[in-house]
Amino acid sequence: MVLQTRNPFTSGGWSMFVAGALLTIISILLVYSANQNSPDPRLQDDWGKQIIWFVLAAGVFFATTAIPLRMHEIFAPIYYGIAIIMLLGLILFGASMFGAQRWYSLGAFSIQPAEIGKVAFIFMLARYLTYSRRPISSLKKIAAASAICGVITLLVVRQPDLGSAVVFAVVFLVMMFWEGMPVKYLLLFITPVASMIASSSMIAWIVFFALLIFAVVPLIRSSLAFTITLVAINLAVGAFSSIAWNRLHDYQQMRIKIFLDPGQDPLGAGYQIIQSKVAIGSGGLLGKGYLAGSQNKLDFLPLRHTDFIFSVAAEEFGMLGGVVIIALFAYIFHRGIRAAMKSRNSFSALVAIGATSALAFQMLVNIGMVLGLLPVAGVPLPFVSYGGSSLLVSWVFLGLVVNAERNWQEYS
Amino acid sequence: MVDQVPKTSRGWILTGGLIAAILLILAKLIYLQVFQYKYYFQISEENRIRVLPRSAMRGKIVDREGRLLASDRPAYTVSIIPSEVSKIDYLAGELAPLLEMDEKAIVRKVADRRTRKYEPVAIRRDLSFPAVCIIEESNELFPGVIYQLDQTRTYYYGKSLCHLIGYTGEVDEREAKDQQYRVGSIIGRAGVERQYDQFLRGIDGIDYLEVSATGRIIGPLDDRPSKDPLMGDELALTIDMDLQMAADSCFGDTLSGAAIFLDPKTGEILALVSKPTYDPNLFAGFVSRSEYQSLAGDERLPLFDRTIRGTYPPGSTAKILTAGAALEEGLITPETHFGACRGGYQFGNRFFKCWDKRGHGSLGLLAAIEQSCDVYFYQLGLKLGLEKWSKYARACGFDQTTGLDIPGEKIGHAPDENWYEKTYGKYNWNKSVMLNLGIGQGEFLVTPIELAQFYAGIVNHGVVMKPHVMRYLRTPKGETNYYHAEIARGLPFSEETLEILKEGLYRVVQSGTAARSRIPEVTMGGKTGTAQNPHGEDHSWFVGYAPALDPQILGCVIVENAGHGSTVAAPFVKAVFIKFFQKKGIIKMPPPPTPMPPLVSAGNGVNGAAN
Repeated sequence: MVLQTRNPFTSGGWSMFVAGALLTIISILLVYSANQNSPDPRLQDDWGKQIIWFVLAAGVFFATTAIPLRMHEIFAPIYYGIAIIMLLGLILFGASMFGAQRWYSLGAFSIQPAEIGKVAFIFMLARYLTYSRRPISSLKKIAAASAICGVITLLVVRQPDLGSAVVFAVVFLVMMFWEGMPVKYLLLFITPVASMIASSSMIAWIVFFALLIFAVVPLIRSSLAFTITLVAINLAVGAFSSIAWNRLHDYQQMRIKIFLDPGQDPLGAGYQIIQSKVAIGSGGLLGKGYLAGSQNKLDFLPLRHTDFIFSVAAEEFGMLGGVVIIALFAYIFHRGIRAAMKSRNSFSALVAIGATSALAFQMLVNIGMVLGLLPVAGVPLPFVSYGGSSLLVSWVFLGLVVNAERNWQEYS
Repeated sequence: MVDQVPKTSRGWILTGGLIAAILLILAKLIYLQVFQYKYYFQISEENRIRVLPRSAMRGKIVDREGRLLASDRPAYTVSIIPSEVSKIDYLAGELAPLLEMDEKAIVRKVADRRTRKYEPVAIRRDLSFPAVCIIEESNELFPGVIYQLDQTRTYYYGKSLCHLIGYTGEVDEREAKDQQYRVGSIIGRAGVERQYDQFLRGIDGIDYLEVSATGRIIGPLDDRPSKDPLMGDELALTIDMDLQMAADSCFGDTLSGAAIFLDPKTGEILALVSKPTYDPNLFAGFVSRSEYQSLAGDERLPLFDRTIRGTYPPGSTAKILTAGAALEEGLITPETHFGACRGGYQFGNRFFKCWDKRGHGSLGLLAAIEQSCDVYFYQLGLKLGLEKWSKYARACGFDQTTGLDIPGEKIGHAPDENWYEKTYGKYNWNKSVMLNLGIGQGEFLVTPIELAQFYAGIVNHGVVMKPHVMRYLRTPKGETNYYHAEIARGLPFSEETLEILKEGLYRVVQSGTAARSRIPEVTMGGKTGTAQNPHGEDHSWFVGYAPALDPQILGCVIVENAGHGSTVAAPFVKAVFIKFFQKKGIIKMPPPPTPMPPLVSAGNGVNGAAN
């Protein structure tokens, strides 16, 4: 193992840095705009804190591009262990906010272990999948990988932070798919979710099982044992989903209900989505101008420097601003997938695909949420939402992608 | 077996999924920002802008000599902002005694507001200053309760003009939708307040304020300047308050009826009285339920405007119609005599009485009008026949409204053959109905304003003017729009016929049934009427005009259940005519009475005067 001190800006590192930096500068501008009139004076300084985080994040980015991925491969279990301990500790010492324990407070700053957990989890899963000699179709290997994902996901659910938990699950599925897990096993993970959603209506559930048995099962042409397992799991999940529904917190239930019909309580929980759509729609093509968004400035937008920051961008900079942000993300994702495809090193490829899928999924869920396409999930927009942990981790992911791409020719 | 996808394909599958998801997001973004831009922009404007209306002063109302009849005066209005009140029942309980209102009435007013809950709902107008002070001092106790200096309508001759001027009320949610008026703004509900509402109401001013999501006012909007309210037009009536008061005082507090005085040449109403009356000031501030119920439940019907909505048999005043129709048809000449009056007329097996049971003997037309001989008109009616009678009654306007500029006018009833057939069946009535119709009884009903208009046409060469109470409307800038006198119709009578009828009317006052109401200084014509009425005593009618050759004023009075026209209604007309000609200088004013020291305390003046 050799510490490489190569220029991080070879092989396209520059353009990735610029894409991330543009998003972060947009973030600082938007956080300033969102909080300039805030009645809470502490929030008015957030844009300054975001600058400090940006400086830190830039340093972390360079470090990430410089430190060989192999080192992370070695230390992955340690990272993973620390993340688990921090998440456990959170249950004991974490600061509570909005009815959830998600932060460690460090003076003016706070750390979100779930964000660090995302990095640790990607390393850990990539290492296991690379090191294990079993074929990816082996049930033992899938079970072990599921356990790596399951432990950390359950701890995040326990906070409760459903949004981050879904990120872990999706990153896991994408990495498993990347590693070549047979499609029929993916079905084992995906169909229960569909069964759960369909079970809200008896007719939908019957239609779901008809499709499962008469369309999906013949298509995968699998063994009888697997078919029975698949159907049984779906039956069990569907049957118990009503119990699970009742175990959701009231606000989580409400979020799903509001997603299905935001108008049902326009001054209550549906307020966020309605005001977000008003902010975005009223921005028009070119926006109302920086610092001139009335929905933003006059307090109509909730959580506007964190989860709903895209609404501020769309109100003040219009469709132009929205498209620029989405285009910057699209460029980063494109580079991430290309790095994974190019890489000759299985671990590097898995890390690149994990990092990219984490960024992409969070971006899609966040923007989908503020546009009213998805339920309010509490997932931040990478690079842009205010929050040091999220920003740092976004830059770490960016650095990992650059690192993997730069060293694509290294064999494992 | 679809098992393992090659590695490059996996990359492309992920790329394809990502592209699809990003395209979906872009599509939604374009949909919101391009296709729904106007919709959401409007919502965001409504979000940030609070429109605070500033009520315009309602135009004042004056009489023909400029005397102030109605105007807005400053008063405190207490309002509740529904969005800021959480426990309305509790708040209403606390406020009710202070506002002297029913608790439920407060709750109802707030609950009635379904939209725009952040705009204040006026709960109580014209609150006393001490009560306002209490609300100001206990601000903390009453969240969401505000008071503003507003206006309240005041009627200075309240009772004497109540039906004519009407009253105002607040626009409710339904009206606000239909007519684009603001909920809670003041609207004319009756009388000329309603008729000329669009001119009187003025234009409300608007303040545009920028507000935050919590309702905090940021300040005035830079891009939308406030609009000052524009006061409503001044409405001058044709009413002469001297005549109005004179007519009103004739009835005293006990008699019911209607009195109309107008200029037959123009149709200008000089006095319009319906008795009994109510105080419209009750409606201007706020009217408690019990007060309204006592008004609405009063069996003398003070809310009922008898001048335009009361339908009465016209009695002998209708004989002019019968005579005119017969003359016009060439059935009679003024010299035509019918069978002599012996106190009644035998028709089949029924005896129809004349009002004077001593009988009038054999009379010509003019003497029959003069003495109001029923027997003469029974025979004339029979000769005329129902078909012709109803044709003339309708041509004279008894089947339509007069066009008076006060809303709610009713139409009397001039029956024809079809009506009798429909009502009684083909063979269940006969031409004996003409005996009654010929003398203004039976199924013939008129409103006082219809009768006044008919007589005004008789004395105005057959030209029937539209009666009106509006003289002019004057905008705050001083532009004045006068009412243009309008012809309603022409009477179906020739100049010769009219001359004969006027000769008869002149004789009624000179030597006939109304001789006691003669005025020495002024010649006068007129016709008494005594309308039989199934509900009680006869109604007393008199229609008179003066001077007889060139009428300047015409009066039509009905006093309910008061007996003969000559004894009650005619002296009322005389009293008002004297006032009218005194003002013209034709009759000398009596020397003013020596002032007497008041017998009762000054505050009781109005009640004292009534006795």
